[in-house]
Amino acid sequence: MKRFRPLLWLLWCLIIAAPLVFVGLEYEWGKGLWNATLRTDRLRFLVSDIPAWVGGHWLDVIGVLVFLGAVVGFLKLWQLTAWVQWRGEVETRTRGRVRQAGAMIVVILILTLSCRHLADTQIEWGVMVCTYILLALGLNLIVGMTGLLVLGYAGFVAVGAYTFAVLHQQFGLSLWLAFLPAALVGGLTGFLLGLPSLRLRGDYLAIVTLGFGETVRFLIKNLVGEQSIIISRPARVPSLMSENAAWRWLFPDGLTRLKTELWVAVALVVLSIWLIRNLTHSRIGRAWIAIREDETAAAAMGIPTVRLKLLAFTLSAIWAAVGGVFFVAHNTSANPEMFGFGESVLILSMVVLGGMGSGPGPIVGAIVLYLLPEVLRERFPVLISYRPMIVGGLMVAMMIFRPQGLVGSLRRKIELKEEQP
Amino acid sequence: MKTLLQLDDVHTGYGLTEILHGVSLTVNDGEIVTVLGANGAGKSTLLMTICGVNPTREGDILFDGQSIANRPAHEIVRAGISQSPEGRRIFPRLTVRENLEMGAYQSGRLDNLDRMFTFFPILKERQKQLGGTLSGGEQQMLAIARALMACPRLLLLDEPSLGLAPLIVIKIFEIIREINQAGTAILLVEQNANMALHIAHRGYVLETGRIVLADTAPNLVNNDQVKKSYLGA
Amino acid sequence: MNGAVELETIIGGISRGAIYALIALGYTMVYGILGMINFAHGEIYMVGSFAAIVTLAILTTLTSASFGLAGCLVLSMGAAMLVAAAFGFTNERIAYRPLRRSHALAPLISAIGVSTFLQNFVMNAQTKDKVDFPRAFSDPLWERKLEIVGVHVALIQLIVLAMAVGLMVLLHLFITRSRTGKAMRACSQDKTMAALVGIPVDRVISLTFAVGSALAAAAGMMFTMYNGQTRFDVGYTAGVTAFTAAVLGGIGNIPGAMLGGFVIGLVEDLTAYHLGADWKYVAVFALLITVLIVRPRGLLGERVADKV
Ligand SMILES: Nc1ncnc2c1ncn2[C@@H]1O[C@H](COP(=O)(O)OP(=O)(O)OP(=O)(O)O)[C@@H](O)[C@H]1O
Ligand SMILES: [Mg+2]
Repeated sequence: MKRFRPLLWLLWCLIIAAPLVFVGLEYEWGKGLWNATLRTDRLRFLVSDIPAWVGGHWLDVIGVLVFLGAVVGFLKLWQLTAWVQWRGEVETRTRGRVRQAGAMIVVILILTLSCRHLADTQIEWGVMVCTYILLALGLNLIVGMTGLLVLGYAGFVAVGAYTFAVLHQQFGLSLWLAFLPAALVGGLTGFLLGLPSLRLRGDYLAIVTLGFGETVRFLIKNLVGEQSIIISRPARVPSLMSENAAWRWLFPDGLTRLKTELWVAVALVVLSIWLIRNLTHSRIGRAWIAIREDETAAAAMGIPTVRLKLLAFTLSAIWAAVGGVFFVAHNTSANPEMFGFGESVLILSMVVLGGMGSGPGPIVGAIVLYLLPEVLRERFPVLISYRPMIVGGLMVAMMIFRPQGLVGSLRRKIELKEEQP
Repeated sequence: MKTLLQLDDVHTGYGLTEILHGVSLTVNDGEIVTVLGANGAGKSTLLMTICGVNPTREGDILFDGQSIANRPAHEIVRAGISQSPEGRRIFPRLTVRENLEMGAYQSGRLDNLDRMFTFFPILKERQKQLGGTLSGGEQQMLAIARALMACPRLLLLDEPSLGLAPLIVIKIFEIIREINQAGTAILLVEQNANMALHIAHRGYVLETGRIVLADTAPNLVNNDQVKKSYLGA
Repeated sequence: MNGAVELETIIGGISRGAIYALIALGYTMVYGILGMINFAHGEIYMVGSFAAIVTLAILTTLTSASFGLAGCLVLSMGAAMLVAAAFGFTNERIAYRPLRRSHALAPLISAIGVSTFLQNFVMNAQTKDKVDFPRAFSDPLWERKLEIVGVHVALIQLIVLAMAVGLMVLLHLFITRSRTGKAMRACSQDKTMAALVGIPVDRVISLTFAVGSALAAAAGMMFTMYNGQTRFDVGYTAGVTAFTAAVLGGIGNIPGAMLGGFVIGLVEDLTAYHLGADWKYVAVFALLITVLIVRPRGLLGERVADKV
């Protein structure tokens, strides 16, 4: 009986889902009534199409599994090198830096070499993945490092994006000049929201930030307007196709706008990784971890918990704002609907999937949850439309089976699984 | 005499620390058995393990011949074991009467209320009052009465005299004996070793998670070690 | 300012408030027993609203609505409550129970996962467009106006109010009088002790989720009937609003949730009337922040303050 438990649960879930899945609705306007229809196509989909499809595409399925395994394996190996060093002698700062710088150089080399051969769609993926990595890194500062659940992260992204959009609309400000004011406004918003809410218990904070995310959208709609704001060409990342010889030796063909954007995005990510790494390995970072592990004990040890949480919150908001500016410039327009709850959850799930509080976690999360569905879009068109559902299911499964995430540390696992007193 | 409760080499603990390192003891039908031990020896942990609140990590617990180790707590109550825990743990925002009704959750024996009210007349007066507003002594009576509402065959009492005035302590012990004479076996954990050995038939001494001594109550009273450590003589 | 219009606004606000109170009850019950916020609660409400419409459609198609208007509405509400109870029960089993002993962050995240899953499940299974409540069932209730001391009140407002208050009274009786209800209160006060007296704590927790979800579904059905339409993402706003109501009344406190619901309904409708409908949500959020700063234990909460 026990062995069939999971199957029984699956059956039960199908039963309770059935009324919403198998009943279709057709409106009869004249009478103002709905007519119910039986959606036999769905039944067929479940019992014959999916098995047939998997049967026909089993190579793809294996390919995806291998890819996932490779990503995780690579990062595990990466962690292992750190661990070996740590066992032998305490990892010195320089050594860590060398290791990291090495990895960056490898990534940049690969990019430079392949840049010429990449198609536009692939570069587009690259830009978006970098944007999501940027955002996930920022969210990881607060969710992963300090252990505070923020559900309205897209709200901060929107603040940054709209600071840029409005400044651009009013004064024709360009992307480069917008980073600073956007970061300022974003940071200030985070600070002001954190001031009252960071004294609250975790779940209250989560719901306050959830409300905040939605409020920002309403405010933008009411104060700025529902129509998109277009970012004009000169304000965006330029293309480097001109005759300027300074960078000709590196990119003999010049860079299209999209390629330049990719480089800017990579630079932003590299800069973030460097900043965040230094931050988390400092006194501040250790204090954050102490707060995450046991806030009461941290406070008792004299760590100014509220001030440090406020700092993490503000920094995370700044990252979001910067990401927002870049995203809008890349996207060429800003619209309130782009920054909904779904976006917040997507970014959160990247952090959760990769590993809350781990350095490379958000990067893996962003790659798996953004790049994988995009790359597979043509072969598995359902993946994109079902992504939010899969993301939701993954978040539950991760918490139950692997709370530390794909590349999280054992320490984090113990922290998350420990019994609460 | 029939064995009612039997613990075989029971291990348990919290998180990574083991608290009980193999405890074996028995309680027979109709007996009062007391467990003595210093603070932190693991007496309360022992009772909670019997009741299924703490997991049994190794060993077995038999009640009436059936294994109850790691059964859900409510099934153990249904089988016939109930506990008046350390610190009384009255439901503070339920009335006295509702507290008693909760005691009868498994047995459904609401007719027991009258018996409890004759045991503890004060509870009848306070029926409508919230549990949290009772005095310490009243709460202790309520805790015992609540445990009795389950009509247990084995009653576990954890420090029933804790924090009570001497006169009330004597009264509580009289009641314990009365309950026992009505046919309920009792496993009694007490700091007041004098009183406990006085009414008990047998006793065990628990030291840092191990049983170090087991004997009849009169023998324990005369045991030098017990005298020194627990009777303050 | 027209006094009668103002009064009508207030009556509308009270009807909506009664609905929010029903949702808030679910938050408060779960919080009382687990000390956690059920983040998927808003989605259960949304599922309830869809289940009601689907039931009405089935009734229309299979029986040509031969149960009459009232019969169909009651049946659909009952069905929605059943479906939602099943969803709530499953939510607890999957997202909460395996994580009961974990770090506080874990169940929050898994509940967000469930919430995302449900939203997109309904979007994929039904539609991403707005779904109208069948007009044939709601219009007659809007058209019947009653005049009470010079104020026009639609029948539907009275019905919504009466049903919501009726459910709340039923819940109150259940919690205070029935054996299971008392066991629920016992569990919320001391779960270990509840287990020691023989209460099957896990079953009581499941039941709490199921009952709270059923109430949310009733609210979902009535709100859809009242508002005219629903969509896969309505649970999110309604959830935060009802949560504000629960906090306002004092979370974990059942009468508090009812009071909070009425206050929120009034605040919403008065803001909408004076500032415009778009400001409703902003007002609710501002209220939430204010309550959390000024009086985190809410209007009626006493002891819970230490938990915030
Ligand atoms: N919930 C818990 N988590 C972790 N450790 C615990 C817990 N409860 C008890 N302990 C530890 O287990 C040991 C035994 O505790 P227990 O309460 O069983 O002692 P006791 O014999 O009843 O003591 P006392 O006479 O003071 O009541 C103690 O060292 C205590 O710190
Ligand atoms: Mg003890």
